[in-house]
Amino acid sequence: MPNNNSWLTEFEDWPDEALVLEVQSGNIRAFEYIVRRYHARLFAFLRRMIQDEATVEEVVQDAFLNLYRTIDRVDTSQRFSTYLHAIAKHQAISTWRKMKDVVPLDAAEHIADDDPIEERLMKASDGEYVRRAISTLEEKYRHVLQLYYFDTLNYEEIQRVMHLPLNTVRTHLRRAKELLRRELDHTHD
Amino acid sequence: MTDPEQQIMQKIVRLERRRTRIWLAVFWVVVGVLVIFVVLSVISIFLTLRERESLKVFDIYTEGWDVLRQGWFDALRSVWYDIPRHHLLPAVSTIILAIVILVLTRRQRTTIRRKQASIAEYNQKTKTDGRR
Repeated sequence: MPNNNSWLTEFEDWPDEALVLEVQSGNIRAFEYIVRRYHARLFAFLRRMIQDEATVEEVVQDAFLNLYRTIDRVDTSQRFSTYLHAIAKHQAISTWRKMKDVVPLDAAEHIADDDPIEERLMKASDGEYVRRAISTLEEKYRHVLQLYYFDTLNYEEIQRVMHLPLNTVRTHLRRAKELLRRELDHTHD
Repeated sequence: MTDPEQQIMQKIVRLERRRTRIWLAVFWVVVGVLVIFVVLSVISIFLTLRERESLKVFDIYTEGWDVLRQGWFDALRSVWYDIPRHHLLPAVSTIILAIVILVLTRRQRTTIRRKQASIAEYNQKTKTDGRR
């Protein structure tokens, strides 16, 4: 019988794809390691979409359950974290539709870019005003903004999470920044 | 492991235990039905042959080596022609079907065994952690 330490460290250095293959072959212990690796990250990702922490935790749990149910269909040639984020996002949307209670949080503390709009966000002292500006955006623009700046996904990863063509992702992001700039200017006036 | 992570794993283990049990139940019911069908077919064939006294030809096997050497093939052929086809063909088809099912599910059965071992290890681990 493995001691507690060997259980925890057995999969420590395994890449995501190897863990997924191990789960696909029937080893549930490998899934435990996926949960440990991604739980905090998913929680932070969904926390930006859903205000209530208890609800976020529920959505995270449902996301992992959905992941497990579909683990046999995971394509290990693609980046696993993108797939997991997509599941979490769909689960969150499903929860939104039931709850209709979404308030994006203050973006300023998570931005680290040279784009003028990000500088403005970083300089904004009033989180409420930034939050309100972001919440006025259409859902698709808000999403792409969150995925790009808060979750630091690149265009290809956003494309896979949102199931959109690459050019559409670029267009949405450009448009989102433009709208956010206008909204911030308008609020400042 | 944090408490929320443990809750997730407990749900996963419960889900997998349920899924595994359902899969095994369906598998053994299907195999059981096929086996029962084959056994009933064989019994039915045996009873038909006994009724027709076809099996009496095997008495030659007690009549010495020379008689046996000359007549064993004819005895077998005689029994073969007496076997009712309406029982034999379904029985043979069922055996073939059972073999196909066993071959096709070989990989899944291996995975199921691994899952069961994994669940047992996980339960053992959580019991050990609980005692600490």
